[in-house]
Amino acid sequence: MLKIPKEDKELLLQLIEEKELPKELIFKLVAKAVKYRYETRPIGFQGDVSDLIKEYANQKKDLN
Amino acid sequence: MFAYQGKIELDLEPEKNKNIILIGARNGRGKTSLLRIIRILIHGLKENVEFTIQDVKLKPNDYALGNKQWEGIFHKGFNVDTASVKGILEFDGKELTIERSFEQTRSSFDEKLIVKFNSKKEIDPQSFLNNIIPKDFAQFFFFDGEKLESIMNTNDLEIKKSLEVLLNIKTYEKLIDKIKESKRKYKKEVQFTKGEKEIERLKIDLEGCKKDTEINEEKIEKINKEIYEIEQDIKDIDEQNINILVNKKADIKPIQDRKNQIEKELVKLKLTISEKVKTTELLVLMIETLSKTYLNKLEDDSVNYQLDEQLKLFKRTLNSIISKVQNNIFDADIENIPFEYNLDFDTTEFYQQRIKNEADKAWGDFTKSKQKNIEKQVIYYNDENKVYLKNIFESKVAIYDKITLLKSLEEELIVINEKFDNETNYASKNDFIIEQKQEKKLNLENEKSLKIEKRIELKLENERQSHINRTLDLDIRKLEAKLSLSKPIINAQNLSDRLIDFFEIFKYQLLNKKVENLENEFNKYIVELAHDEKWIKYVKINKNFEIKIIDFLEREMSLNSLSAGQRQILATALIQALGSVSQVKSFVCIDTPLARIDKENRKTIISNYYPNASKQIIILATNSEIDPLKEEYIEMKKFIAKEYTIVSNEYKSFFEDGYFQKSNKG
Repeated sequence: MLKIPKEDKELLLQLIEEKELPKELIFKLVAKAVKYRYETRPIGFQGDVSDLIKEYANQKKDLN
Repeated sequence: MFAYQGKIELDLEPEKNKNIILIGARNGRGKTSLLRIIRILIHGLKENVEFTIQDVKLKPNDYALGNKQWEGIFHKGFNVDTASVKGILEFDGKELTIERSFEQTRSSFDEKLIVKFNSKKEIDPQSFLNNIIPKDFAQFFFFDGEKLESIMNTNDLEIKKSLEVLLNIKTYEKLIDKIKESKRKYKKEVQFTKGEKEIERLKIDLEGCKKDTEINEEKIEKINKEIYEIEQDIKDIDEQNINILVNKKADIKPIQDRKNQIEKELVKLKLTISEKVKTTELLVLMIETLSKTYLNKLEDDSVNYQLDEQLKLFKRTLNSIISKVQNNIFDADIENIPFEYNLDFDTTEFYQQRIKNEADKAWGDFTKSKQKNIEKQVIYYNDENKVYLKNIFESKVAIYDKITLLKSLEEELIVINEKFDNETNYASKNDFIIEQKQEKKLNLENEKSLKIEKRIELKLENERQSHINRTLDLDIRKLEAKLSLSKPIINAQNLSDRLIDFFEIFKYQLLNKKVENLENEFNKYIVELAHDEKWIKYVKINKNFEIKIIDFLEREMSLNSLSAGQRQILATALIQALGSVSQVKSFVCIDTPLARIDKENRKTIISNYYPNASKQIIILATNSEIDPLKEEYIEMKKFIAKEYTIVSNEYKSFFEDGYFQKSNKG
């Protein structure tokens, strides 16, 4: 997993707790965003994001 | 390119704890061209409008090909029509190769760019580079020290966007866009699937239909009851009418029976009389009459002389009788016999003949025995007929009895007929009641028909409702099946909403935090760089990256009220702060870095800024700015990894190792 900036990570954790969203999903999404951040038309980014959301929306039990 | 000709390789790699690459050149030797080449390497020419020559912005074509005041990028001295630059850099721990080439055409130029990151060729190389160092942000990394103060104007929208890239906000914006795109995709997938609300609506409709059906069923049941009651009423009326009729019959029947009996008896009696009359009666009657007359005459005729007269009378009587017979005239008793028993002509003729014969016979006998004892003679003359006469008289009595009976019956019939008429009148009253009841029955039948029609209507309505029910039920089941299939997509769609909300908030908070960090860093570097701290207390940066300078009296200061040196220090502090908070750690290239900085501040910048500005800082300086023999250079020396001097001859510029090692070079 690509490195997420420290202060971003802290803020993310704080908000995850507040919004009660799956931490794993958030960090996976952010990691994808960091991975593709310099690419204007990144191949696979959209699909990865869609698949992740679909997967967590229907399988993960820590979702409210 | 520019003043450079041929292949020139320049190693600009920094060393550990030595981040400065110092390149010296006298004015006009190609120092600024090198800064331009670096900017062209990163952002190219075609889509760049930021190049200015003597404060005049040039269009890419003019910039590349040149005009009256500007020579362009192609070296005029060698009359070449191509130019290229290649940079090998390190980015994110990986090798980044940028190769850009230009070729002059008749009135324009072609530009080619190849970018390889970690040996992988980028499909959209310029966008890739822009994502690392936004075009509008190049001025923060590759800048002319003499114009550094202009970067303090951050009110530009493009600058704001660029800052968002550098502060990594753009990364999350892109993620939000992708989540939004995913949501659109999910929405598209389920756009034809009506959701739970639609199912709920259909269920309400179905319930409504079922309720309507139930209401109709209740109505039908009620109507059925009403019809049953009507039928019962009709039945009652029928029974009542039947009873009335039966009663009527019961009243009339004996009379009717008696009447019929009498009538039958009369017919029978008349027939009997008729038959008797036909056979004997007439004769009997005639004979009787004849005999009576004859005997009467004989009784009176005690004198023989009178006999002739008597006989004449007898003859006359006989003739009279015959005549009467012939004219169907009977005596009073006989006249009572109903007309229909009268004899027809043939019968009359028969009897007439018979009487004639008898009379003739009687006359013959009479003439044969003209004796005194005629009485006896006459009496016994008919001796053989005595029994016959007796029978005839008995028959006559019997006929008269029967006629008497007939009369009695006829009288009784008259009485009975009267009674029958009375009873019939009474029955008519019952008929009126029956009629009333029939009318009521008819009304009830009509009412029943209406109710049956209503029932049919309701049943049809229920059939229709039932059809709708089935359709709705089917639709609901189909929708539920579809919904079940789309549930994962809908879940994903819902999660997308929450994620968008999450990252929007996160982006906002992160931006605020980063701006706050930038502001803190900015203030920190101002303190570090500004030799004289009295002119500024602090700076404020809002989330739109607008910078406000506050003096010690807490007043906002205009940038124009500051000296050029102060503005340059602020700009340097901003660049340093940006470098500190930025996710992108780019190399920095500064042309004429200290031109407007006074002596005190120069030292601070050299010792505080340059070593910390970046891992790699390329400084393009004149020897008047950084004199190789003076304190600034000595101070900087410990951070210098490589030194070059740009020199030129009449044809071209080139690089020599060392920083102004030969004082007369260039």
